[in-house]
Amino acid sequence: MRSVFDLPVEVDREDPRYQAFLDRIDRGEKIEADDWMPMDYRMQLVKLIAMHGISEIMGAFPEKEWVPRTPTLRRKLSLKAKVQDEVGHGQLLIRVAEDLIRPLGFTRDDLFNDLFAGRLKFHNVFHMPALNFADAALIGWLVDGAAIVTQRMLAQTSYAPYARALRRILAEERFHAFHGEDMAQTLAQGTPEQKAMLQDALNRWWDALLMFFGPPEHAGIKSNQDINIRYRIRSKTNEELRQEWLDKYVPQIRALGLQVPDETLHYDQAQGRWVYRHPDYSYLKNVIARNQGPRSQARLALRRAAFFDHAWVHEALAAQPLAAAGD
Amino acid sequence: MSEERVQTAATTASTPAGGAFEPYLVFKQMEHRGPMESEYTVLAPNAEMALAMAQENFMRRQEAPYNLMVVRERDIVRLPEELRQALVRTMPRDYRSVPAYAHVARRWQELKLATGDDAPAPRR
Repeated sequence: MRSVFDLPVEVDREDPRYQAFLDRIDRGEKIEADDWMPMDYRMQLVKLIAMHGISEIMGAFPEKEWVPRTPTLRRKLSLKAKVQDEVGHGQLLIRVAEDLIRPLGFTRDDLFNDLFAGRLKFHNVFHMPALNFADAALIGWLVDGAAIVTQRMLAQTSYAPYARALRRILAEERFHAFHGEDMAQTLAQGTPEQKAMLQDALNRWWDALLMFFGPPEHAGIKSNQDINIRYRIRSKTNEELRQEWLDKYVPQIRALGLQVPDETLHYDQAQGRWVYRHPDYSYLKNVIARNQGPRSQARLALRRAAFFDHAWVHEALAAQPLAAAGD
Repeated sequence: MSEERVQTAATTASTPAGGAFEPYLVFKQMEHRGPMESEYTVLAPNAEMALAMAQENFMRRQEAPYNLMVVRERDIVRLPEELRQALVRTMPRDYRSVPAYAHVARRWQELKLATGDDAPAPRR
């Protein structure tokens, strides 16, 4: 089965259009979908935005597991609204990715086939199990928090359609962040059992949260950071984003009376950064990228079922003639 | 303008363009992340002329937009009046609004004061 990710990524750096493109990037100009762009720029965007879009959809799965089992009706309404938003974000982003691959002869169906075949990845955190409601709270609090740190940086991207989608996404993520913090505060200030549940969730999720940002530059693991920074697709490194996340959330974790499950973690005033024990980032390549995480296959099966079992709805809609203007 | 020419102009929107002028909606976008906002309509024989006319209009203004777009009015499908009524919210949805979570920020202030946390201020 053909895949956009199998296309050769050839860039003629002698092409005058290439230098003109670099000049546009360096001047801070924004690139639109129908502008000329080198193949490596296009493919970096496809990988990033398709992964982001798919991750929004796959990220709805651990949370939707807890919608039927929330402790109050208000939490059910909020969690349902959040899940609706995440799927909506996935729709926005898949459309942006689709506009990038259409000139190459591919569609969103090809992206979903890439997901099922393991060629298109989704974020490590959405391969994790959500064992109890404290996990739902932690996802809204710290996982969404990590996503917001990253997306705020990406909102300055050189690719304008992605920037526009992120503006809408970030506006909705504000309610998600407050909702997550509200759940975390309520559990931490609840019964000893509730607080213990939240601490246990933090212990289980800590490494995955650090890995969310990707390997640091010194880990000796290949990443696309350099080319994405050159093209101003992104402006900060994985480690810079991780440090920003620690800046915000370590004080919150401590304020709730919880323990960060890393006794080495401390803020080094001289270096101006958090020092901590890094997780084993090879887990991302050896387990997550192969969809062998704790819930990888179960969630892919859900997506596959939704895609194939509901294809008849898509076909029925496509067969319906559109109303002519003025009818 | 003669009666005949007024009548022709009034029915142009519902007839296929065969050399006739049709209304095109002009949308402007002021910055790359901003919305496309409907500004006004122009009467033009085709999309290229409509865009040229839109550009001409904006060149004379103080603020140059980031982008312009034109859409032929007969290609737009609008909600009929009765369905616009269905857009009105009948149930409060504050559970998804940021102001409904104002107590969260207050609680962080109280908690941090209680623990005397002195972690560094967030970097920019």
